[in-house]
Order: sequence, then structure tokens, then C-alpha cells
Amino acid sequence: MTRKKTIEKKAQTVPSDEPTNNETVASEPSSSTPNEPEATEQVSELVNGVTNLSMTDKERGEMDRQTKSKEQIKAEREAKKAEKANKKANATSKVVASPAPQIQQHAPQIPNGQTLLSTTQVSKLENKKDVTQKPPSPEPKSAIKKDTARGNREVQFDLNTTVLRTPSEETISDLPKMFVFTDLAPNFNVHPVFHTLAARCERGQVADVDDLCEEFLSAFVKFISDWGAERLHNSDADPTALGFDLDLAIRPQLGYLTEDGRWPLPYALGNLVRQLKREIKRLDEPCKHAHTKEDGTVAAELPGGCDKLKELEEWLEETRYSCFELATNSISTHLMQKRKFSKKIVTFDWCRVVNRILLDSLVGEDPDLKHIVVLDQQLNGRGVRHMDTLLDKNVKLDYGDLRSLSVALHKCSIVLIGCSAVLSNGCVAVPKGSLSIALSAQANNIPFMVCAQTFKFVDKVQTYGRMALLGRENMELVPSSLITAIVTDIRIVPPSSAPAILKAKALESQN
Amino acid sequence: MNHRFTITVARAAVIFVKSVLMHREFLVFKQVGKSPETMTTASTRQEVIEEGRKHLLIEEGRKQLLINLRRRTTREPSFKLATDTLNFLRKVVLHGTYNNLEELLALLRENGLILSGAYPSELVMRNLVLMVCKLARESNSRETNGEFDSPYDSLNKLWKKEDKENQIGRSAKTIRKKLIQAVNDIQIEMETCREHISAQGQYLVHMNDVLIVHSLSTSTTLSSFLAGAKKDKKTRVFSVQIPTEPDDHDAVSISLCEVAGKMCEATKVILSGATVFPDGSCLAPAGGLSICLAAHRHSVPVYVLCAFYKIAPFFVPDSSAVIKHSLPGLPVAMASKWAGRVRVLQPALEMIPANLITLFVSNTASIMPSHIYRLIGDYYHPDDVANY
Repeated sequence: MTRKKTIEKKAQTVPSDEPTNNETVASEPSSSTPNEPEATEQVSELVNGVTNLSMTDKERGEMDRQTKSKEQIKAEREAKKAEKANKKANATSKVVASPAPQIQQHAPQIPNGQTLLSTTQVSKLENKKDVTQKPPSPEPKSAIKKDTARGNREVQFDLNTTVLRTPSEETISDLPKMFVFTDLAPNFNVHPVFHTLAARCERGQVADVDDLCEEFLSAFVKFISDWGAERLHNSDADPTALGFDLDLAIRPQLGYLTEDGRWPLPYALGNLVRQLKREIKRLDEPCKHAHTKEDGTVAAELPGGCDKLKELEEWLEETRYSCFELATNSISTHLMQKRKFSKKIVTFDWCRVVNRILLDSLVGEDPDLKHIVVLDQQLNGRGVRHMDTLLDKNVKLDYGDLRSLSVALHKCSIVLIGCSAVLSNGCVAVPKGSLSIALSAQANNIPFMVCAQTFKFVDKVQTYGRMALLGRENMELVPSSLITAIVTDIRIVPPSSAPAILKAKALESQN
Repeated sequence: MNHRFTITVARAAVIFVKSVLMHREFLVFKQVGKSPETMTTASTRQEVIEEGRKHLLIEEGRKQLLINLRRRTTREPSFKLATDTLNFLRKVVLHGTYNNLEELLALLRENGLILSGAYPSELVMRNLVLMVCKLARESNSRETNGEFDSPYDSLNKLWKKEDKENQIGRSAKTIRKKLIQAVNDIQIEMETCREHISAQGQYLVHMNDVLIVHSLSTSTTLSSFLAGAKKDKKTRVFSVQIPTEPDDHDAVSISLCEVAGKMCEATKVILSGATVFPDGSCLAPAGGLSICLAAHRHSVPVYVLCAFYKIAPFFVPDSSAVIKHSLPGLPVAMASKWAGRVRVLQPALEMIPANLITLFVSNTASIMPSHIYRLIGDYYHPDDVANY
């Protein structure tokens, strides 16, 4: 917080200096008057207000009339007019004539073929000389010096370049576009774990939002440990501004993942990041309960806010456990009653929660579930993961693409599908093709159930065509009218209860 | 020694050939149902042999048709199957032995049952057999009464006595001649069917329409319909296909999972039907049902193209009996891993209920699904349908 305040103070002081300087410059001619005490008064009055200025002029005029005669006054006025005229004439001559002599002065010192100076450089030189109003020095400026020194190395035939650059000055933006890999441009503020995460997403190694969230949390734990260690070595770090510093530090990381806010984060991940930011802000708040030892003495805080960072790491681990382990368990338990008498379940695409439910329902000697059908967007798609896990189980397995939908839904009990987000109007963002399944399920009067952890509920009513990290995500919205129920880790709710879940989550986070 | 040996070999060969010929003759008699011993005169014997040869000809034609069906790896267009079946039925009419209409109908029915027993999913074969049966009745009736009375218009003639003797007593020669002519007419109608359907494309598709079509690469009728529609109208076409199918240059290919999202842009859905049932439902290539459901949700009209020979006189209560599964096309590693454990679903066709279809585009007219049953009277006789 202190660092923030100092930045604000600087920002306030810098603009306040400028008008005072200008006023003092403007008051210089008045200081040439014979009465010095009046001049000092004028300066002080100028600072106070403009209205006082008129008063001082009048007083000065009265004083002049008293001391000088009419002839003297006339003579002074004429002299002033003449001075003004001279000044105007000098100014116009400078503006018109000043560039030419300067270039003429520099030109002979640059060898032939090296006169490819940029206009900006020239204008900069001119401005500097105008401001300082010094006579042009015989030696050229340093930039020109460099150019002249490396005259032999320059490429003479490149007509497009107006600026001659040394190899060290060349940046990646100067290269032709076909050689520029903007995505691979090194961003030194970004931790390598986020580079790895983005690369894995780019290669399609991250299957769905659940995996992405889990990988993000584990990456963030690594980032925090590294950042904390670095901060420990930094003696200038303010221990009270830990949260503020961490908030500043994660901005480039998130900016890298979202390509500077170009694409929004996937909804579930966005929810986690929002919670994470809230936790980070809480780091700066004073501790409600001080660390007390067993003997009652207050424990000394670790240097660099390490204990707070540890707390944050624990929170991350706890979130990961509750969002993925506990939530999946409770979803599976809630669905137990519904799937008890179901003999045939149809699922679509890969979802780890659904897979867990299917595996749980096959536990036991004589499970009710006899038949599982896995559908995919196209053959050999992501649904094969389900098949790999279910292959050795004692259950009848069918696999097919969307063309076999009508055969798959024949005598089916439940259609079970995972999702990436549940919107506040009850719509569900699901893998592409689920809408066809939902329509067919409705036509065949088969319940269409969606599994969603509560962290996937978002207070929005629309999806974007593209999300960060997951690219052009294969998502579409299934309207709430086609959904029988959403199985959450709280309970099984109808899609119209999405706002209630959001409210419950908000209350939970406040407490 | 050598000379003697050659003579004995030659004699043995002659005996063998004779026995083969005898056996073949025996087979012929067996086909006719009479033993060669009962044949007394040479002329009768010759007739029976001739009759048996014709039987064999029909049987070989049937075998050839079924072998061709068995050999194909992918499902061919219905038009080819219909043409092959019709050619076989023409052979039956031409070479079959019958003295009256009843025998002809029995012969046709017998061959039809064998065909549809071998391939119950190919309903077009059954349709054509029944169609030829009806034509046989029609040609016989024209021969006797001078006109053919539709059996569906018989309400006003209930009190009239049916003259069955007239129907039976007609000569087979005249029936055969008339029937072959009628079969040739059907053949011509089938060949011009595609042109008639594509001609309707000009009226059914409007300017700036956005069409969603399915199985464009396999259906020649659909591609000719689109060509007819595109003649003087600017349209945009989304073709639903699996990624392995070849792209059509005139259409934007989309996958089946994108259809529901694209349906809001579409103004018409055009499918090619495989079979149309009397209640207005139809069999279409797999994936058609989800397209129709999405279209129904967005109130987009669905047109199904079907030639007249695809209209079936029966309704099939269990569609799984007539839906054939095609080859899955999985990678070898996966197939070996899943062998015996996983059933891969790949139906070739799908049943679409009548309420999802707006219009059937046939070669004669565009028909509402609820009016399909009226066409059945034009092509089939109720007695044939009942006895099949």
C-alpha cells in the first residue's frame, strides 16, 4: 500500500510543478521594474491569484506618473515598441533560417552514401538546439557518430530502411513478418510454468476445462513458491504490501494466458481466478487471529510474508481438493438414487466426472448398470478415453458417433453429459453435438442430466465463440428447456435453480 | 498299348459327358417336378427340358442378383438395385412357366420372397415385386374387361358379381406380352425419375436460400436436384458429411455436430430418402433424424426426395429390422483391442417420423406426408400386399 501511495504522490506533484514555473517565467519582465519590493509582492500575488495582478499594475502606473515626466514616459514607450519590433523580427528569422545552416554544418561530416538520417533524428537535433539556443558544436551528436564510425558495414542498397541500425539495435519487430513468431516472443515477466501450460493447451494435451483448472492451480502453486523465494531475497520488499505485489506479479501471467485480454478465460477457470484474486487481496488485511504458540506467546512472523504465502498455497490445495475430489464424490453420491434403476446409460464426449460416475456405478457384484453407450463427435474421438477405462469392466459397451444416435437411445434410461459451464439462465455450455442429443432425448422422453461442479456456475447469459487457452472451443449452448436436471455437488437441481446456486456460492465465499 | 489306352480314355470321357448331360437333364426334370421315366413322347420330353432350362435361367438370374448384393462393400444407390431387380423380374415374366394370372402371381411372389428373405433391409426389391404383381393384374384385367378398376374405388361395385372365370381363363401369351411392355414402361419411368425430381428443384428452392443437405456425395438424385435448383438461383449449401468423405466444391461441408448450431442460418433442409412408409415416415441416411429434430426446433421446412419405387406399401413397426449396419472404419490397433468387447454402432439408415417432414418430393409431384397412402393405390394392389 505504501508503494501505491508514493506512486500517487509523484503523479500529483509532477503536474503541479509546471504551472508555477510558467508563472515565474512570465513574471520575469515585471521584475525588471525599479521597485524590487513591489516585484516580489507581484510574484507572491501571482501565486495567490490573477485578480491581484491587475491591482499591482495600477499601483505601478501611479508610482511611474509620480516619478517620471511626460516626455520621459513617451521616450520609454517608443523604446519599448522598437524593442518589441526587433524581437519579432529575430524570432521569424530564426524559425525560417535555423534548419538550413544546421544541416549544412552536419552534411560535410557524413561520408557519401551515409546521409540516410531519419527525419525524426534530425528534428530531435533541431529541437534540442532551439531549446538550448547554443551555437552548433563542430562535433556531431553521438548517434551520428556511431553511424559514421560503421560506415563500411552499412547496407547501401536497402531503400526501405531510413534508419541505420547496428546488429545489437535490431529488435524482433524489425525482422520481416514471415520470420516473426509473436507467440514465441520471449516474455520475461511470465513464469515458465505458464509458458508450459499455454504450450500444452496449444498442442491439445489438455482435454477439458477440469484438467485445465487443475493444471492452472498446480502451476500457480509453483509460481507462488518461486515468487516468494525471490521476494525473500529482495530487501526492498515491503512486508505489508505482499498482496499488492502479488497482484501486480500475476497480472502479466494472466495477460500472457489471455493474450492481453484478447480472449476471455474459460468460465470455470475465470471463477477460480476471481476467487484467487480475492484471496490475494485478503493477504494485506491485518491478521484477525495472531499466530500463538502453545505457551501463549505470539509467534514471530516469518520474513517476507512466507507464512501468508503458505496460507495461500494451502488455500489453493484446498480449492483443488474441494473442486475436483470432494465435488466429484458428492455428485456421484447424489446421482446414486437416480441411476439406481437405470440399466442403460448414454454419454457423450469425455468428461472425468461422468467417467467417475460410471466407474462408481459398476462397483459391486451385481450392479444395476448393464449397458453403457459412449457417443463421440466422430469415431476415434475423445470418448475413447471412456472406453479405455471401462473395457475391463463387466458391462456391455457400445461405441459410435452421432449418426448412431437413434440406435443408441433405444431403450436408454438416462443421458449423462458433462459440461464446461452453467449460465445463470439455466443454459449449459456443453461439447458440440450435445444439442442434437438433447433434442433426440426429449423426442424419446429420456431424461437428459448434466453433471457440473458448483465452480462451473457463472453469472452470465452468453458464451463467446472463442476462449483463451482452449482455442476455438467446441462448445454450444443447450437451452434449459431441454435439460431435465443438473447434478451439482450441493444437490440435484433443475436448470432454473442456477441463480440459487450462484447465490449460495456467493454467501459461502463471504463467510 | 498306347493306342488302346487312348481309346479307353476317350470312351470314359464320352461316358462321363453323357452322364453329366443325363444328370443335368435329371436336374431339369426335377425342377419341373416330373421324372424322366414318366415322359413318353419325345415332343413332351423336349418341352419339359425346355421348361427346366427356363427355370434354371431364372434361378441363375436370381443368384447373380444376390451375389452382386453380397459383393458390394458400401451401400449402392437404390436406383441401381431397383434396375437390377426389375431386370430380374422381367426375366421371370419372360421365361417363367404359367398358364394364367394366378400362376404368374405365385411365381412372382415366390421369387420375391426369396429376394426379400435374403435381404430384408432392401425394401426396394419387395416394392418392385409387388409393383409388377399389380401390373400383371392390371394387364389381365384390361385384357378381359377392357379397363382396369382400381380396387380402392370398389365401394360402389360391391353388389356386382366378380367374374373370376374370365380372369383365370386368359391366355398366358397375351398377359406376358402386355406385362413386358408395362415393365419396360416402369423402366423408362425410373430412368427419367431423376430428371423430374431435379426439375422440381427450380420451384421448391428460392433465391438466396440457405440449404442443409445430407449425404450429398452418395445420393445422385440429391446432387441433380441441387443442380436444378442452382440453375438460375443463387443459393448457399451446407453439406453434412463425415470428415473422410470427399468434399463437394459447390457446398460448404460441415460435420453433424455443427448442424444444430447452423440450423438458425438455414432456410431449408433437403434429405434423400431410402424408403417411404405409408404413414409418412421414412428411412433416411443415418444422421438425418438429428438434422430433422434441429430443423423442427427452428421451424425450418424439411424436404425428402424419393422416387416412386421407394414408396413401400407396408409399415415396419420395428425399424431396427430393416436398418442395416455399415462397416465402422476404426484404426487397426483400436479394432484389435476392442474385438469381442465393444460393439461399434454404425447404422446406415435411420427412421424419421412423419411429423418432422414437410414435403416428399417425388417424380410426379410434391406430396405431404399424410397423403403418401394415396399413392399406394396407384402402385400396389391390396390383395398382393395382404398375401405377401
